[in-house]
Amino acid sequence: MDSERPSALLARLGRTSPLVRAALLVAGLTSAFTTAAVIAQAVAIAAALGALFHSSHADLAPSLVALGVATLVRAASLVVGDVAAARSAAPVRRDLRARLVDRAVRHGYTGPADSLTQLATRGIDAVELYLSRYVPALVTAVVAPVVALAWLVATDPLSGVIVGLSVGLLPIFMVLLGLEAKGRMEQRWREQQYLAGYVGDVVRGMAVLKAHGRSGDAVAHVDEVGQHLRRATMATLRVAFLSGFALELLSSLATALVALVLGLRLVNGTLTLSCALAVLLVTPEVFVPLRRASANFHGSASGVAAAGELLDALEVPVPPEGTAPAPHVVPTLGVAVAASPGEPARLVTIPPGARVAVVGPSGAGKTTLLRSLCALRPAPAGAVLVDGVDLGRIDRDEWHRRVAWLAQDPHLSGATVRDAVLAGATTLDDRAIAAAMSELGLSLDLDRPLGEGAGELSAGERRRLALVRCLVREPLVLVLDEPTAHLDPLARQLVDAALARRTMTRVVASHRAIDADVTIRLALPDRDAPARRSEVESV
Amino acid sequence: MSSVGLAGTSAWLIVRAAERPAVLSLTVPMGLVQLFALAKAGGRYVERTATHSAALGVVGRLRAGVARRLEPLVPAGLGPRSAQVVDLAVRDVDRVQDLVSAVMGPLITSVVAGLVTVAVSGLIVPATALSLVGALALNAVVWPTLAARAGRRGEDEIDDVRAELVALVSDLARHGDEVVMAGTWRAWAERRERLEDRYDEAQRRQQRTSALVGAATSVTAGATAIVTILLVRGALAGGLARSLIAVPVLVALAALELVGTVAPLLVGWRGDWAALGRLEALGGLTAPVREPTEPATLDDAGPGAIVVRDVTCAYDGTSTLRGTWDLGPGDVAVVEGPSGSGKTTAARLLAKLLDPVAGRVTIDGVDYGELRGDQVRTRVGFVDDEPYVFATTLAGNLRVARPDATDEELREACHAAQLGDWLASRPEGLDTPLGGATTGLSGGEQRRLGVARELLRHRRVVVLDEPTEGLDDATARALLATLRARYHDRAMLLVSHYESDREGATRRFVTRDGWLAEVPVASPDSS
Repeated sequence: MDSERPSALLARLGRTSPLVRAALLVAGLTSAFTTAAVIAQAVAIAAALGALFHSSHADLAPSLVALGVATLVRAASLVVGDVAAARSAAPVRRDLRARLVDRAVRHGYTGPADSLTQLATRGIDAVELYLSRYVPALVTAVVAPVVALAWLVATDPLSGVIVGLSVGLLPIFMVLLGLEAKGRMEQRWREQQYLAGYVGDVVRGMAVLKAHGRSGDAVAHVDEVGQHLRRATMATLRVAFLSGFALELLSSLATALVALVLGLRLVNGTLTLSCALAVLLVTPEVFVPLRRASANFHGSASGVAAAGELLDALEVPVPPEGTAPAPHVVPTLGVAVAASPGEPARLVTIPPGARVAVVGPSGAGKTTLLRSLCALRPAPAGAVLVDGVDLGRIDRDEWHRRVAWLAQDPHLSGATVRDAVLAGATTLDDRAIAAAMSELGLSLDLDRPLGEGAGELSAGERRRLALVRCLVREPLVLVLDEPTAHLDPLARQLVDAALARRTMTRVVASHRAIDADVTIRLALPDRDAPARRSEVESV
Repeated sequence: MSSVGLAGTSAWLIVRAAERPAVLSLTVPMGLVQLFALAKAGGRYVERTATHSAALGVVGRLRAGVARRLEPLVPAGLGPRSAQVVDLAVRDVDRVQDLVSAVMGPLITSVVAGLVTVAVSGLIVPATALSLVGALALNAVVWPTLAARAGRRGEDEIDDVRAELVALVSDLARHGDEVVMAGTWRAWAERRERLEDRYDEAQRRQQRTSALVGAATSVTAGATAIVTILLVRGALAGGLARSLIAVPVLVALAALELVGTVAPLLVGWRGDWAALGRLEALGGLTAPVREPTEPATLDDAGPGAIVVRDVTCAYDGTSTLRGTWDLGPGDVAVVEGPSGSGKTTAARLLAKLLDPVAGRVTIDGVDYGELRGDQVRTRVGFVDDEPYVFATTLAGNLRVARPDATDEELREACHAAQLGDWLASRPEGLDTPLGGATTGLSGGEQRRLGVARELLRHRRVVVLDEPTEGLDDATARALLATLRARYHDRAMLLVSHYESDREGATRRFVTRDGWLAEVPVASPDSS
């Protein structure tokens, strides 16, 4: 329930994406125009009826033509408003998605991969819907009543005052109802969310319940929880609908009051019928947009939530792009390693062509350290130096052409084995690929088709093929995350031998101690056991 | 309803007043105006609460029905993407709830209000009943139907593009670092842009249709006003009371306004109907296992020896796996084979989550056909490759397996399942909340949670579907070592595609070309 105010959220969105401001302007203009057309329609209808009242032979042509024109103008302005809202929301969607995905991929995303996917697809769609539907309704709720009210005040001040007062009373009404309801409402809302989630949870987890012989009970329980849920939801809704009730009550009372006062003044002869009818027709138009916006309010919740989350992700500052050139010969690397988090780091120097082992239990930060060497993430303990230059100042794309990285869970994409090894590179010939494959004990036809995610290959084959992809690029630095994980002993020996033959700098993360010139031992951060510390050994 | 009444009576009041009668004679219309004003607000409130209450009742029953229907189907009866089917069903129930509460209620009210308005208007000027019926039919039925029809293609296209975007972003989310390293980032961005172009194009078409319908609806209302005024003029010549001239126009506009709020909802209906259809279809699926009405008894002291003889397993009539094998106390078996070759099918068969279409399976000599699934599963544990994480604490998630387990036992199970370090890093320990939108666990941790649940049960036979997927090498080895120790006098079957999982196994099965066959443990990699 704790959501941002729409105005604050829109201001944030506007800062992030200037297109939002343009969308707001278009929505404001078209809703003002539509309201003007609605008023013109009302005036024309009133004029026709007023004329009829005085004589059934009155000439209705001018007012009916005016009505027809006003109707067409209103329709046109609706079309323009709708289309404009959608057209201005679409670029915002594209822009936000491009920036979110770009940022997440190039600078990392703190949450799990699934939540990024959710946010970038369903989340951004919800934001678009919010911008194309709810925001225009919100803008209309501000603009249309003001235009209609202004006309009322100008045409018939007394009615204008009545309607103006009741609009003014609205917030007071809402506050009175809200104050009483808010506390109870939030508690009920939580209860209801919990119950609704519970049922979904039971159904989604049915396989687990079944494996443990609990599914029969759970199904019976769902019925019972459903009853609770209905009671809890209705309790919430009864309160939630009160605000709608207040709006409705004020609008109909205002309309009734305006009608009564108009009636009395007509009896006195201080008003013309046409004018009275026009006022009567325009009065509800002050409230209609308000009611629509309030009805939309619940539907907009997911868009608001997604927009908030999205902005949180986009507002994190990113490090500036480096411009310094990357080296052309195998460089000397420097890596800062802290004995434990928060302590001053010491710089480990890795001479060109060294074999470096990064060892430690999982969770100690091996992968993070490796990623920082690839300039994919900021260094965990300060800096990575390349020939004495901070890696952050070096051109990233250029550095990526000097380094090859084997991920812990490598991904192979492409139609064939050859495509998977090439992965965008064009300057490799088949002989080099075949040589590297046979070195690692892989005998695969280069034209062999690979399924989605290379599911046709065994995990061991996939891992070795990904290693082939690294080796054939002949980088200056090889950064390998557990190259022998899940391999059988024979394949493991082949991989070890292939690495031993290379002359570039090789940084290998592993759980077990391996032959190396420099070994960086990382420990799990643990406050209770200060004896466990990260350390470095050099041969 | 009352809003039409309010419009009508206030129109009457004003025109009557314009005749400048004695103020007293205005009492009736004045009273009616106030009555309708109050009734309008109250009525809307009652309508909304009543329709929501009815919707919740219907949906509550539907939800329970869906749970009942899914229970026998999960997981083998829902095809290869069982988890997604279940997830879709849960969301479909919510969609049906929207259908009932947001569409049905307003629809019924506006239909009733429309009919009453037609009657009132017809009483005053008979011909206006016809024009109003025509206008209501156009705005409530014709335009929304045309819009829905025109929008269908665009909607399908949008669904397709959405699915492709999800696949693309999810690939990037998982493997973005490799994309950046390979320098192919721009190609991926271009692919995304092309999808966005298609999305924009389809959406633009959709938008154009719905905007045109909006315009048609509004033009219909304007035209109705013109026609009604002309009809009223005709009726005036025929002796209509002057005070009533404004009523038909104003009630018609009020009724059309009411219908106008419902029409867009009707356009969005198609998706909701599809949801209802999908839920219905669940009832038509055949359960993957038959449960006997009078089950045989299973000896508690039995060793849990399973024999699978000449079975054929099939989904949708297509055979996916055949073979004869057995599994008994002391066996540590691995099942290997390419993706989709039937490894999971073999595992499900042993836990009676799937019946063979031919052949038989027995445990301690009793045929699976004479046992209830729950009975088999008191002996045979099954850990799926993506064990669900409930939205509760870690302890709650573990006690699903054994409600009476002590905290000490839970902690021990976590340690044995190699979740010890993870547990130690959580300040809230066993009370750590899990689940929700994101599980709070990585894939590997989720699998180990499944193993921990199983260790709490410690059944005679345990079948594990890819328990080491997503684990680092050392953790995988430690996990398997613990499992081998715990189940040394019991039977263990491990579905795996990692060569390293073979170490320590006493038996090895391979699934290939629709058959499961035993091969020597030490033979070279078959792929």
